[in-house]
Order: sequence, then C-alpha cells, then structure tokens
Amino acid sequence: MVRSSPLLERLAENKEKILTIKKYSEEEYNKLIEDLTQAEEERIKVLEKIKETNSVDLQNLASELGIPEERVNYDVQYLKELGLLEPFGLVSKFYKSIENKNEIEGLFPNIAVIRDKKICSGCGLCASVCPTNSIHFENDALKIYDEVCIKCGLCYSGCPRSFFPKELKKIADNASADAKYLKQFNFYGEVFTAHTKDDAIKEVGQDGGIVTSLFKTSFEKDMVDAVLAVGVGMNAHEPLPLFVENEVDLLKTAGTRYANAHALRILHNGRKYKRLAIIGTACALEALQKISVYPLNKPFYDNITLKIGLFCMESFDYENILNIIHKEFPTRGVIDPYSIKKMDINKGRFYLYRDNNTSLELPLSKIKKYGRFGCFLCSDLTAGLCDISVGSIGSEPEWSTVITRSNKGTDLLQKSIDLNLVEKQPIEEDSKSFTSLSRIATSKLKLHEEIPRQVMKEQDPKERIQNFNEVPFGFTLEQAKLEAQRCMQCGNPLCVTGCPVKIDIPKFIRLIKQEKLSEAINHIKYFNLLPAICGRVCPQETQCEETCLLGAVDDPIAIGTLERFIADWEREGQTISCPECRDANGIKVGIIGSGPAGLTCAGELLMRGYDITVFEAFHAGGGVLVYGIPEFRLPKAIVKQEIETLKMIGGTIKYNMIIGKILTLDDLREMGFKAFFVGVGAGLPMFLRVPGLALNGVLTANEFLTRANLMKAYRFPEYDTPIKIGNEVCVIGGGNVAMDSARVALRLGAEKVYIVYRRSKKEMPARRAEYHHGKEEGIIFRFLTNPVEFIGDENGHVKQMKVIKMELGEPDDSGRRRPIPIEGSEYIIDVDTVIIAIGTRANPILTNSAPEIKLNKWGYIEADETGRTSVEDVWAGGDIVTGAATVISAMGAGKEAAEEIDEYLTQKYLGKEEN
Amino acid sequence: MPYKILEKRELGDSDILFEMVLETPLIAKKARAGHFVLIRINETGERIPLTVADYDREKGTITIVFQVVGKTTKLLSHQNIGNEILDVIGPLGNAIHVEKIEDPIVIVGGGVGIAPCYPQAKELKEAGNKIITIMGARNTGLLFWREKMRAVSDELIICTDDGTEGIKGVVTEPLKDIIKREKVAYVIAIGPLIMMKFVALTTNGSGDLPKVKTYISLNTIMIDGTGMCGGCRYPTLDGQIFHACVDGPDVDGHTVDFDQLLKRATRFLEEEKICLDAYDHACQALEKYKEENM
Repeated sequence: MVRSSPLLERLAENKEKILTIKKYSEEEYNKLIEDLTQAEEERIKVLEKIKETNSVDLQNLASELGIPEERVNYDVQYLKELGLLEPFGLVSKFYKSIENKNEIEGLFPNIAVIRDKKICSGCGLCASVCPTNSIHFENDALKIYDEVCIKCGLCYSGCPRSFFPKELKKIADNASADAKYLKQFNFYGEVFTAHTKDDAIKEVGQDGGIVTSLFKTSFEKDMVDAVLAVGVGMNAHEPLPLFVENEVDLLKTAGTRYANAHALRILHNGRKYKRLAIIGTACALEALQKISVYPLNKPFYDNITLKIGLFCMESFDYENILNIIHKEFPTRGVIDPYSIKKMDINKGRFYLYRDNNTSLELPLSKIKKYGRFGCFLCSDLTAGLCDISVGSIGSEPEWSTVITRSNKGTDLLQKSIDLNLVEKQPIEEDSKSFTSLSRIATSKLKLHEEIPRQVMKEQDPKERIQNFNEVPFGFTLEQAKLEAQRCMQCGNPLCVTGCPVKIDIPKFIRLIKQEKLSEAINHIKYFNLLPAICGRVCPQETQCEETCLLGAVDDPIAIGTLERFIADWEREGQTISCPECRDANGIKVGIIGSGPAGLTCAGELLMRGYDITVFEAFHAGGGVLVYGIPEFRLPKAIVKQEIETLKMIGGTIKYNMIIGKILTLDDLREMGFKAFFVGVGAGLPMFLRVPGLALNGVLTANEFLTRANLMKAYRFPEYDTPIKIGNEVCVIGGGNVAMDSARVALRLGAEKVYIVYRRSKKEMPARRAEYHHGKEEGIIFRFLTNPVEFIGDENGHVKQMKVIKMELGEPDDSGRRRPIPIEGSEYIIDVDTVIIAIGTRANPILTNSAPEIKLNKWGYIEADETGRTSVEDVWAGGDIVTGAATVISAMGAGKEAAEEIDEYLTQKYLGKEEN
Repeated sequence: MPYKILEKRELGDSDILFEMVLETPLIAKKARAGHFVLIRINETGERIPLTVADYDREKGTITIVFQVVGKTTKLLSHQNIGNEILDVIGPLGNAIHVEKIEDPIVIVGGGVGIAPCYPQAKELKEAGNKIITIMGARNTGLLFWREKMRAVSDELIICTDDGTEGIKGVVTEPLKDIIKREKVAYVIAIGPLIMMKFVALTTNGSGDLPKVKTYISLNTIMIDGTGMCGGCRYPTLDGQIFHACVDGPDVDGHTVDFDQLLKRATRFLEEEKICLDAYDHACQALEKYKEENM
C-alpha cells in the first residue's frame, strides 16, 4: 500500500504544471515520484513507530522496522528538521528560527530561508533540483519566482546549508581500504605535491595544472563522457558553468575562477551523459552527498562517476571579485579586468597575473571581507567528499597538493602519471608542507557543533531571591576559551554590524581563544570604555548576537558574556590599564550627566587631552546605572570602578550639581568651559491616566528603584531611606525596568509579584535573560492585560487593581501590534503595592534653563547623528535625544559626539598645525 | 564636597526647633524665596527637603530651619558648628513671583513654617509691597524670628493655640478679620498641612468671605527633587497630578486635594518610627557608654 505524504501530494497536485515546464519528461517525473515515494514511506514508518513507542531510540527503531540504523538516523534527522519530532523533544534550532515556514505541515520551506539567513554557499543545486525552474541566480543573487514555485521544499531538502547530518560529513563508503582519517581532512589515502608535464596545460592551468591533467586523463582513458566545469562568461572573470566533452574544450576552462559559479544549477542538463565528472569545492560536494542520501539523485543525478574536490578558503560573488580588483589595488591606477590573465592564492597572498607578464599581490586578510557569508560557515578546506582533492595550499608555486581518497582517485592519478602527464612527490606526514596544510585546514574547522554555547553558572533562584548579589557568576577561563572556539571568525563579521559602537568582536574573541587576555581587553577598550557594564546590560540578543552568522544555524556566540568575562578578568586582577592619553591641552569641556553617554564622552575626550568636568545631579555617578539598574544585575562596584578609571586619567566629577539650577550653561561658559555634552537622560516617569493614582502604595518604578538602588533602601533600617512593599506586588510594564522592579520586590520579601503587560510575551522589550531569570524566580506574568483602576482602602492605601484583558490588533508606529481592550473582560487583582514602569520622558530642567537649545515636540533635544545641537558649543546624546533606549546606544552617542567636539575645539582653539 | 555648618542656634524654647547656616557658595548665589534644598547628612542617610529660609550671597551661605520630627531631623540637630553635611543639593523648586501690587499681601506662617515665610516676606517687601504677617504656633515656646519678621512686615500679628503669646486662637481668626477689614491681594500660607488646609478653606470664597488667591507651600516626601521619582506628586481636586518639586513648592491652595495629601503624608509613618526608635536607642547606648567609660 502506498502511503501518501504532503510532499508526494504536492508533487501530484502540480504534476501538470511540472510537466508543462518540461524540465522533467513524464517518464522522468514518474521516476522521481517512485524514488521519493520509497523515501517518504520509510520516513512515515519511522515517524509512526516513534509516535507508537513514544521514543526516538535509533537502535530500537532500526531493529523493529528492519531498516539499517544509519538510514533510520537520516530519516530522524529529516523529520526533526521538518519540526515533526517536537513532541518527542527533538527540534532543530535552525527549524525553530525559521519565521516563514511552509504553511503545510510536513513540508520544508523554500530556499528563500537560506538566502535570507545569508548562509547560501552558492553551489546552485537548488536551481537544478527545482521541478518548476523557479530558482535563478541573477548577478549572484538567488531569485525565486513565487508565482511558479509550487512550495514543495525540495530545494531546501537538497541544500547543503539547510541541514546536514554530522554523519554525512564523513563518508568512508568510497574511501580506499587503507584510508586514514583526520577531522580537518576527512578520509584520505595519500598526500602528494604534483604538477603537470604537459606544456599546453602549464600555459593555462592553475598551480600545477593537476585538475586539467586529471580530466585529460579521464577523457583519454575513456573514463567519463563529460565534465561539469566552469569557463568564462561574457565578462572578464565572470564564471560560467558548462559541460566539457573533450580535451580541446577542457583547456579553455583551465584555471581557477574565484567568483562563485553556482555550477550545479545546470547539473540536470548533464543527464544526457552516461558518465559525468564533477569538479567542485566542499559545498558543491556536500550538496551531491546530501541528495544521494535524501534521494533527489534520480533520475538526473545518478550518473556522476567521478568527483574532484578543490581546496577552498572562501569564494566571492562576481561583483566582489571586481570590487577586489578595483578597490584593493587603488594606488596602481585602474585595472582592466580583461588584462588579468589569472588569479591565484598562495602562501597567504592573493595574486593577479596580468597579460603584460606583471603581477600584483595583496595579503589575503585584505580580501577576506569580500567573502560570501555562506563560506564562513564551511568547515572543509580540502573538499573531503570526493575521489581526489586538489589545491595549492601545502605546495610550492607551480605545484599542486593532491589528496587521494578513493580507489578511483588513486587510479586516476596513477593513470595520469602513466600517460606522462603528471609528476608527483609524496608529502610526508611529518613534513612542513603537511603541517602547514593541516594547520590551515584545522583553522577552517567549525567547532560549534561539538561545543555547545557555554552558559554561566548562576545563583539558585530560591537562594538568590533572598539576596541582592549578582545572579550569574560569569564564565570561567575554560568556558570563555571554549566559547571563543565556537566563533567562526567570519571575514566579514556580521556581529560587528549589530554593535552600536562597532567593536571588532571577532578579534577580541580570537585573543581570548589564544589566552591573550590583556590584549583582548585593550582591544575592546579601544571601542568601548565600559565593557563590564555593557557585557551585563546590553540587549545582545537584538544586537551583536542577533546578527551573529552562527545564529542562523545554531546558538549564536555568547558575545556579551565573553565581553563581561574579559572585563571582569581585568578588574579582578587589579591591573586596570590606563588608556593612552594625548598631552593635556587645558581646554575645558563640561559633561552634563554621568550616565553611560556622559561617561563615554568624558573618557574619549580625556584621552584626547581635554580638561573634563562631569556634572552629576545625584551624590553618586553612573546615572541610570546606579539609580535604575539593581545591584544583582549590575554591581555598583563596577560602575564605581569605571568612574575611578576616568578620575585616574585626570577627569573631575562633581556631584550634587543639577545644571540648570545651581549653575547654567552660561555660568559654565563664564567659568571657561568651551564645549558641552548633554547626556541628562530621560528621567521623568510616565504615568497611567487611571483613577487611584494618588493612592499610597502606587509608585513609579523610578521611585521604587531609586529608593532601593541609589538610596539602598533594601538595607533599611541600616540605611535611613524606607521602602514598603507588602505581600502582593504588581508591576506594570514589559521592559527591563519592569523586570528590575519585580525582581527587587521579590528580594524585598514580596510573596507574590506580578508583571502586568498590555502586549504579549513576544513584544516584551526586556532582555531575554532578565525574563528568564524573573520567570525562574517565580514572577507571575499577566500578558495582554492592562490596569483600568487602582482601588484604595479607607486609609488611602491601594488594595486592589482592576485590570482588563487585551488582544493585539494592527501594528502601530513602533511596528508592534497595538493592544486593544476586550470589552467586559475586567477582573480584580489584590495588591499591596503597584509599581508603574511604563516608560520615561525628557526631564526639562536643563533645557528650560537653556531655551536656545532646540527641542522636538516631545521635549527631547534635537541633535544630528554626531550629537550636534542647535547651539554651537553644545552636543547631546543618549536618552535625552532618542528617548529611552539602551546603555550601549547612549555610549555610542557619547563617543560619536566626543569625536566631533574634538574636531570643533581643535579647529577653533588649537589651530590647524596640530596634526 | 561636604558642606560645613557655620552657625547653629536653637529656636524658641522647645528643644525641637533649630536654625543652621551652611556654607554653600554656589547655592547661595542662586537661592531665592521659594527655593528648597535636599540634604543627606551622611552615607546611610535619606534625602529630605528643607526650604531655604535665608541666604547671604556675599558670605556664600544659606540658612535652614527645621523641627525635629524623625530620625534625620534629630540627627541633624545633633550636628554642631564645624561639622559637615555630606550632600546639599539645590536650589530646587520654583522661586516665588515678585512684583509690586497695590493691595496688601497676607503671609501666614505656622510653627516651623514661619521660616520659609521670611525670605518671601523680605523679597516682596523689598519690591515695595505692603506685608501683613500672621505668625502662629501651639505655644510661645514654638515661636521664633519675631524681630526678623517684624522687620519685613508692615503689620505683625502673633497668635498661639494656648494663648501663651499674642491672640489666643488659630491663625485663621486674624486672617478672617483682615479679609473683612480690607481688600487683600493674595495670601501665602506656610505651615502644617492642616493649617494650610484651613487657610485655603477660609479664602476659597465658600463662606461669607470673598475669595482670595492663596498660595501654600508643599513639603512632601522627596528623593531626587527634579521630577524623576514622582514621590512628591500631589493630587488636585480636579484629579490631576503635579509634582511638588518641579511644579511647586508654592502652589495654588484652592486646587489642592488636602485630604488625599494628608493621607499621602502618612506613607512611611511606621518606618519613620522604626528609624527614630533605633536612633534613640543608639543615642541612649552611647550616652550610657560615655557615662560608664569617660
């Protein structure tokens, strides 16, 4: 009995459409269905057995179903990626992260997912696999014609980047009997250095001309009918895949194209040949491996009889090849791409050989940033899934390194020697060449699959709600080094694009991996003066860790925790290094507000030699870092330390100075200040306009947290400032401030703490870690709920809160769906304390005293991206410009403004001679 | 930057009223009638608001007057000349509006509230206004600054609840007489909430007297004094919310919901008692220790 599946149904429904497109003849279509039916039936059986036994025991499944364990494993992987094994605890992170899933359960999404996650390797297989020809590559961009796409998901299931079971990565099937195994090389027979002895090939071939020689041999010995090779298209160095049927055409395709050819996109056209040879880099070979296991290899692809692998560090989009030529050789005039005969990579350098017999070269590091993102995920330098691999690494110029893997490969190499086409010398495993090849191959290994994302140890939730000590303990050195090894060291790191201050993240992680800890911290400090703070309070999951490429396939690197680790390492070592400062120039700059924006701006200007005074309204520095963020999330000693560092490099900080009251900007100008940075934050609380606001027990998060944090009310009566919470506390809001308030309330002894938020969990702006911590600690979340009235007792103290349930409507200006009350859904929550944490707005004290500073309609200062305001000597940044935002974006603003202030003051007071 | 106590005097004959002159050159430069400062005595201290009762720009000083009611004020009363206060923040709040007006201005000070009346009377008098001052307290021992007030008033009326000085009775009695007697520009009332409430009731035009604009001065619980914490928010009769620190401290007494405000003032009564008891206990222990060991 043939059991149907969503995939088979989809293909059956669209049979007519598929046949109209004529990629498949009816016969071929039937063959495909036949093959897929077998595979699908097997998977259905596996799935049903899993459901029946409620377990995913491979051995058991294999013996009960009579299917080899290896196959069962592949089926399980496939089902897991389809999201069908979620009830049994198996769900792929990758699948989970896909937003646009196929609307039909049990079908993969189309390949747009891979494209949008930027992890396409450019192999081109999907275009070939697509039964309706709806996938195309235009200027290296993968295009999908939605109107033709039948949403069968075959492209996704064949893609080497969508999922690729570990077991597929090392296939010993065709390996020769005496094959050895090294993780970085996969299975291999012997390693040689070789070069061609054929003059015609020497003229055009790359390095040793081995690939061309091997194919020539395979033609001469009648081993294959055609080779899928890459020639040159209409434009210079534009790659064009084509089938070569003879030696003469073969020579035209010799030489490496560094641009991505998506060669497999024409693979199906090779069905007319009985025996097809493929030359490809690791990704293309992985694609072929995958479709042979998840059978898409019939009817088109079962004719591949020879696979030659090419070493590959990374490939480039054609456009980026032109960028390299034009942008990276700037001082040498315009280079006509047509004048370039050949490109090559050797010994860490990139070479251009020109037709006038000159050559240009660059260190490889310069071109790394042009690499494809998909290439940064690749682990396989030497293209292990083939018969024989060839590349330049490990050999002298004019020679190639050759790794035999299968008997077929060994045989082919021997035949080419017999034909006197090739000359070889062994590379012994103890030789320098072998070591260097091995080292480079190892550097390309990605370890995230073996090393899970490291997690900080934390105080037990039951214990920690009794104290104000920090919750996580930070990484140990071992953990930090493990985590650092997970980093793929992308040539064009996406994480940096997510960082508001553009920290060179891969570099500091690399330095941690190498245990060069003081270099690592100094490197961070070059970009960010407050790493211990940012490591703790940045919303990494929406910044660097969101853009981390690894996040597309696995848990992203714990960048925030690594930053915290390295900053703590320095602080605990008591060897705080002073950033290098220019000589003092005596020019006075006033910084208003000692929050993250102000402190950063102060630090940057101090390093540039200015005489800096920071004016702080409170009796302690740090702004929101001390009055807002609780001790258990950011120990105050850390903030204090950062301020001490500023003092150490000559900064002055004056407390109890409310600028606009005790002194105005004009007073300060009279006192000789030449420029100002205003970073006074958005300190005023917003209130809900509901009855009962004046009741005792209803207070703002600002008041609650300021009492608890700045005034240390949690140590009352040792400290005089009181705080009152009662047993049942209700916090209104969904941000970090709400989370902080709720968790402080718990620690102060509240029995029940609610968070009432008018949107759903998904829209909550709080850091994910804070939500999880709060949840662990027992906070009760009431999502989609909003207060409508606070009800008091006879003494004017709140006793109950009337709330209404909400539902989400259309997205509003913030892009989040607008909450709408559900009529008649009101109910009562008993409370002793209500804490309102629904946001803040601008504090007008400073701006009232300096009306010449232009404000926007909400009272925030109008400033351009450099922080420049409508007043010549005043810059502003942080929440007073943007409204409530993050610590790191405030720091970014402080840093940006410091550069501009420096430029302004240098021009105005230091003259241009200073260079 | 601690702030030195340059002078300290006990006021009246009560053991609970004190006057201190603090060295605060920058604040003194900017201080005006209506302003207040926040002080925190030491590292473990709370922040409390105190009105600037006088200032001397030349000497760079401000004067504060306080009555011992809780731990902080008691601790402050134990500080001596030469001691330093850890934090003095200000000047905060809005200064009063000063202009020359035809009709007399009546200033009503009750108890420790007499002190903040002084700079207001002084500034208004200096602007050429006619000032009628009513000073009231429970008894004569709680009265102070009679001469200072006389010097800035055209007429000074004193009354005590128990009749130990001046008229026997509450401040609203002479106030009624004045309003009956002549047209009054406006009234300024500073003192206990309950006194301010009754002054406002006297002048709101609800009885047989004409309505007279009345300013009262709020001395609520505060932390930052810049509008940030919302702790000092006060309800008005029409249900709006204002902040004493940035919208006040002097506000239109006829808009204030005194009953709510009286309840808000009781927010931390329990905690205040815990703190004061602990402090008293510590003081007694110290005394005992001194007796036994010195």
